[in-house]
Amino acid sequence: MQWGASSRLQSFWDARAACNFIGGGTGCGLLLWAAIGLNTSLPYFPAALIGLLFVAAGLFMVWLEIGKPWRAFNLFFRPQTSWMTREGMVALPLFAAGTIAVLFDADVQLGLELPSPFIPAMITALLGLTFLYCQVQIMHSARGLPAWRASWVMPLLGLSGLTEGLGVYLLVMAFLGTVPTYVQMAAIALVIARAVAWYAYLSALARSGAPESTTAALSRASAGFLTIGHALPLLFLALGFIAPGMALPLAAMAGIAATLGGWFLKINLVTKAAYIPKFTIPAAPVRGQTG
Amino acid sequence: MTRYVMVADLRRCIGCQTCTAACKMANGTPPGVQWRRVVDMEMGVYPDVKRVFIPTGCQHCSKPPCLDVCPSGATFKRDDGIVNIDYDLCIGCASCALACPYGARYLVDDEQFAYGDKPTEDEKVTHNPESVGVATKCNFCVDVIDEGIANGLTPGVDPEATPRCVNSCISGAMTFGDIDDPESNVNQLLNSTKHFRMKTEERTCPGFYYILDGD
Repeated sequence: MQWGASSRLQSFWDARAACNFIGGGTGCGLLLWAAIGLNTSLPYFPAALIGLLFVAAGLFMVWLEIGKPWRAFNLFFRPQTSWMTREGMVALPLFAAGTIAVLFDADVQLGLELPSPFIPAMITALLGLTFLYCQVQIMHSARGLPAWRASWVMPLLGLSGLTEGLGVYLLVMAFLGTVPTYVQMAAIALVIARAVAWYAYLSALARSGAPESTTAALSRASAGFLTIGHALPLLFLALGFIAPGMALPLAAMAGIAATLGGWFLKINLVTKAAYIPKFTIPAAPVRGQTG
Repeated sequence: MTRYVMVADLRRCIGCQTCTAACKMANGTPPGVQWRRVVDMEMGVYPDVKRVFIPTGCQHCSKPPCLDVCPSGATFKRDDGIVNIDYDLCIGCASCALACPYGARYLVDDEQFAYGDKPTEDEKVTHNPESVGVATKCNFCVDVIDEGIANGLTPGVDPEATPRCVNSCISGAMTFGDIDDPESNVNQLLNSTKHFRMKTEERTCPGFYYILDGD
């Protein structure tokens, strides 16, 4: 059917743009949890370094997406209203503070004696949260797409970013041989919160009169998202409490599942559910009265 | 002040797509890109069904969501209400296309022509290489308007200062003019008809009016 008389799937942003949301969410979530872990004497720089790499990879993917990549500097021109400009402006100090924090924490390995990474790590975490907020706003400001402009998309993507970051943090910490109970409890709480946000988002979307194709695409994705991103992590974490000897590998598997669930959500949200609604008119025109 | 708007009389439009063709001809847009297009819509339930033709494109909103999201400042709104794009600034991020509730923006990454890799004779004249990789859309033929005004002509009244889609319309369904002028053609038309604007719930204040009925 002709576009306009029916809704149309947006084709401007593809998986590369989804990767920006994936990298930004996961990376910023990871930077936050790495900073929280630093307060409880957990290793900081491995997780923080991976977090920065996630953010950088996401930005690189979106750089590949834009039509004029060699003009990318122009994106800094409208901070008054553009969340994409603000995202770019936050990215610069984020990488600066993150690099300093990583260096300060890795000083022993580097054979140096540097100050405590505490303050730059906290600044990095705050900048990461700001970066994540900008990303969420970028999606929310796409007013042509009901799936993105829905108000619940903001808590959903925010919580998903934090969950994905915590998922990778669980994996990294399991690899390093220690996953404190509070990290596992935080993962349980975040996974549940993300599931609640998902249902609230779907409900709000249905009430808003979103295109049927949008709700159908999200319904198709729902089972996979809930199973991979929620049921499996909760199962693995619960088993970890039951069998403490297996807690580390189970925590790692829970982290992988929680992260993959979030990535699955974003891929679907960007490439499969973003329909531009059809046109509607209040009544048929009355022909033969044109004067 | 001046605020240029378009009025489409849906009672008159017969869906001939001449406006679409005139726009493509003048602006050299690539295949699949229709700055001015006519939606062929079916209304009602069988057997009581009607076809409705809706000319559409950029609505030149007073509060354009495409402008706010543009990170480069390439999208701008003129004092006369026309929303336009500076191709030299645009980075082709497509944020504007996703923010537009009317699906009026296009972005083509490669040079495309109507027949193969080489431009036709017409396309050699009209194709703008700067429009590749950046956002494009209807600009109300701003070049024609500006040149017409510079020559003392009135947009919407004098064809030499009026968008090509309006000039080409064979049924007189398209009207262009200044809605801030109480005596203008568009005001007279809108004051004597029942009309609506598309997706007003988006609070974009579109500058594109659709006539459905007489008084």
